[in-house]
Amino acid sequence: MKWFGRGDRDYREELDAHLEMEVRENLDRGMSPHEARQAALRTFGNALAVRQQLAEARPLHFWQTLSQDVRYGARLLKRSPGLTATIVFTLALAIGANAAIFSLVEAVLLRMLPVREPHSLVIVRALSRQGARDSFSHTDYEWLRDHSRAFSAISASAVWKMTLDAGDHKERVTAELVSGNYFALLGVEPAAGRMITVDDDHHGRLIAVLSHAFWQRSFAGRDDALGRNLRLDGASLTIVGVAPPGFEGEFAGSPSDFWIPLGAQPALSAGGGSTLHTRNVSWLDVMARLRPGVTAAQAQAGMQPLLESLRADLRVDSQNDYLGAITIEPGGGGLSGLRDYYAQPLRLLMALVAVVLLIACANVANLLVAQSAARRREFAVRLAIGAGRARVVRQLLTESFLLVAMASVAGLALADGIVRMLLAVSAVQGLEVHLNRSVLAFTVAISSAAAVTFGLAPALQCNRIDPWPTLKGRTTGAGTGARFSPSRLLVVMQTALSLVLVIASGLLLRTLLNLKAIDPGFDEQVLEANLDTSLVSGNGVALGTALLERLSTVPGVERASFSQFGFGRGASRICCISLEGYVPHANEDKSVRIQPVSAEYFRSLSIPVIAGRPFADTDRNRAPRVAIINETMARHYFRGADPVGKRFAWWHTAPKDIEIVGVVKDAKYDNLRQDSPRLVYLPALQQGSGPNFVQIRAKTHSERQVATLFQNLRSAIRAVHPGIRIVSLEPLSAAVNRTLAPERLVSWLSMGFGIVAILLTSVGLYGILAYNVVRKTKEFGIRMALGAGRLTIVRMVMTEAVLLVGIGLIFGLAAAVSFGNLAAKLLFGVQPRDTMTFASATLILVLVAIAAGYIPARRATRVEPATALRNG
Amino acid sequence: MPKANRVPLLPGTLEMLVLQSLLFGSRHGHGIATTIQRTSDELLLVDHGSLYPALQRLERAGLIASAWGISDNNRRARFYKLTRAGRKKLVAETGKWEQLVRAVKGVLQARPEEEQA
Repeated sequence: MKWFGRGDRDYREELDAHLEMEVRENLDRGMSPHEARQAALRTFGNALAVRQQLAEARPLHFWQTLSQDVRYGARLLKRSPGLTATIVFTLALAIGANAAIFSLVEAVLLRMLPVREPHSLVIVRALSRQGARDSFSHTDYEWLRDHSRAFSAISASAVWKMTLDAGDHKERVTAELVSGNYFALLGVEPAAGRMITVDDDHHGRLIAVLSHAFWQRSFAGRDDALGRNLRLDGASLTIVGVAPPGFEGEFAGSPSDFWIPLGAQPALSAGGGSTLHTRNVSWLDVMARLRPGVTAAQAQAGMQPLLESLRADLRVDSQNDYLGAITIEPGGGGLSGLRDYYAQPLRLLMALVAVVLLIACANVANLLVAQSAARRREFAVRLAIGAGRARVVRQLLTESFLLVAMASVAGLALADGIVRMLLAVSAVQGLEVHLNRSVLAFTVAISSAAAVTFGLAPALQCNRIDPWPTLKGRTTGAGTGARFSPSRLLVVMQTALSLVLVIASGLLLRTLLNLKAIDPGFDEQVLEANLDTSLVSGNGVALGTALLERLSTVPGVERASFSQFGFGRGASRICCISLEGYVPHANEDKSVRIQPVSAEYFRSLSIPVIAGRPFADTDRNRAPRVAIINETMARHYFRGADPVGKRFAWWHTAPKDIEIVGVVKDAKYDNLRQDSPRLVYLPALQQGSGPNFVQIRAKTHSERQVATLFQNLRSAIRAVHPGIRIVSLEPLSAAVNRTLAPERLVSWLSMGFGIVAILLTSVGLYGILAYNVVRKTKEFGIRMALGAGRLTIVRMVMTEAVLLVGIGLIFGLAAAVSFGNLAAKLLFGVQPRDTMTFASATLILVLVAIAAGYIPARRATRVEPATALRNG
Repeated sequence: MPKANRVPLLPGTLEMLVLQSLLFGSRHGHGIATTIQRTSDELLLVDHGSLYPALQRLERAGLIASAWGISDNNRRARFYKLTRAGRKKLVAETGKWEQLVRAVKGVLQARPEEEQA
């Protein structure tokens, strides 16, 4: 229907506007809402009144009203750009931080392998008696494969670093040996050619399936790669297929270049012999797919009898270590060292950043409640002209969603930057983080939750509006004056959450400082080079000796040494030591760690020899076998007796012919948290081990000279053999620092979160106090006129601040205690309920409360009684 | 409050009053109605129901133009303004009206002596 040539809607809107204005005026004249409405309709005459009533009774189409709400909301937000900007900024910060942390969580903890039904995949893991991770032997894997009933398939794999001979150059590659059912189990189909089959495995065929990335890199994705040969050390593999893009094996963060049948192992281990069909070598990781309807817990229960049968068959000696337990773990995400390392810190960070979002929501809710107080008249008019309460609430929620939509867009942009920064700061390697679909979905979800959370507060407030007194101006701002108004509750909640964050960051920061204060037991200023010498053929000892000779001629070098393992990179457990005159108790862990080193090692690292002698150049090939042990080991096996001169063997049946010639002070080995393990140093010259790590003690530490020294060292190393790859060259302090990456990430972030929380809370508190001062101006005026001193007024304002913060702190302390337990595993040298941290965090918040209350309190004392009374 | 002694408008005068009310700036429908009521010392009663058809007639005749805008209380409202033609029309109408009023007044106030003379 067209009225006057313009659209029906157009006309109705014009009349609606008119009607609303009329109602407002009538209300101003003191009519009741109902009267106002009737009178307004009357001015139109009867026919129109009827028509108008009909129009209102007919509900507008949902989308139509929605677009109305959105347009109205947008106009409103545009009208108060300051408030809008504050809200959007606050939310964007919180949403951005959440999206950033979540994208890390997604990459490390949640991302699934690109295989069929990843959720039914499990990792079957062998644990030693001491609970350390172990592998399965081939025989045990086959036995499990044939006897377990919980799985529809069970496969084994092992990752090998190999040297590929590409004709013009040699290249280190990552190969994965897999059982024949590996690809079938995962449901991975070839992109070209075929995959490895059970038959290939059985016959030990020398074939390879390339990863898509390796195919692109080495064969430029050409089809004629199929059928060609890959030449490895001592063997040649025929390429039969290419895996689909994206599939890189089950080791998240360390992609495989190609896959080889397990059966090909004997041919690939030059002279190493077969490790198939034997129980003596454990080298396999096992993965399985649960039978439909079987849960991981059921599979775990079913594993116990299998484990017992396996153990019954093992040699008595190794029973103490090998196969202490078999666990079933979710495997859909593959195996990931990163996950082991970062799971705990990331869960904690996710919890902390969620708290930040809650605080931000509380703040925004507070701002909106204050604003909605100013809008009460508007709502009252809307209610009076016949809008349902639901409609008004929906209007408010629409506005919240508008705000959140803007904030999420800004937040996502921010998240991208935050992630980059985090990755740079924490020095996490091998992690692919992107703002992918899961991150987007997460962001939309938390944003919507946030919008509802903070949108509801003013909506509830509005629900309590009684149009009648509100419109007549008789309101004293009901709701904000009540004892437990939403805004007060919000401030209490904010205070509580902030305290949790501040305490958390305090505990984590102290953990980091405690760890940094630890003396690693060696000189951290010493430079260490990590070398990859796998492409250099020949004797490792000769190479090491040549390197040390060459390095000692570099100007500025005081001393150089080499070792097989570096700090934080030692995988050197050896079992089972047997010492002269020492009887181990039944369940004792008989493994120790070993570290083959050159003679100068202890002097270049400043590790003091406290008994006996250091190694000498005479401790070589045919000389008597010698070893040096650390203090921890001396304490454990000799309890105060002098270990020097005692002998041991690596196996209880072997002759005990290795003599302990010295004891050195403990030095940290894996990381700063763990005490030094029992450690046996062996002479590299005697062990024939090469220079994987080279330590260089420099005479100078001035920056400029160190820079030239680095250059000289690099060229000296290359001069010894061009095939040596320098993986890294850095002071040991850098290696130490790297092991602190998770702690650093968590403590810096939590500190950032804590600061944001304090800021938001103080703004929230300030807001409510300032508002109250304005509201009570008249009261202050009267009191001052009656002779109240400034102090009384200040006390009135501050009492409220202290009360709100006090209640918040009590809740916060309770929450912080349970939080401390959550974080206990990450803490070092500080108790989860550390009194100092709790006390100083509380003090910080009290100071913040005083600061936030000070300005409103001062303003209250400046009230001129006369003015206040006149205007009140 | 509406006064008890309000008088309804004479037919045909509403258009003129609308034009007059727009002389000092654009207004929305409600604004026009209140302006007329207020400037008439609340004596003239504008039937809001006939205001909009009148506005429509004026707009169609090109005497006023309208556009959507935002009212003081953040409400979308249609604002009307005087066109050049409308301004001329107002002057003409005002002249005619004053002539008419003078004439009618003269008739109503005539004394019988003069009539005889």
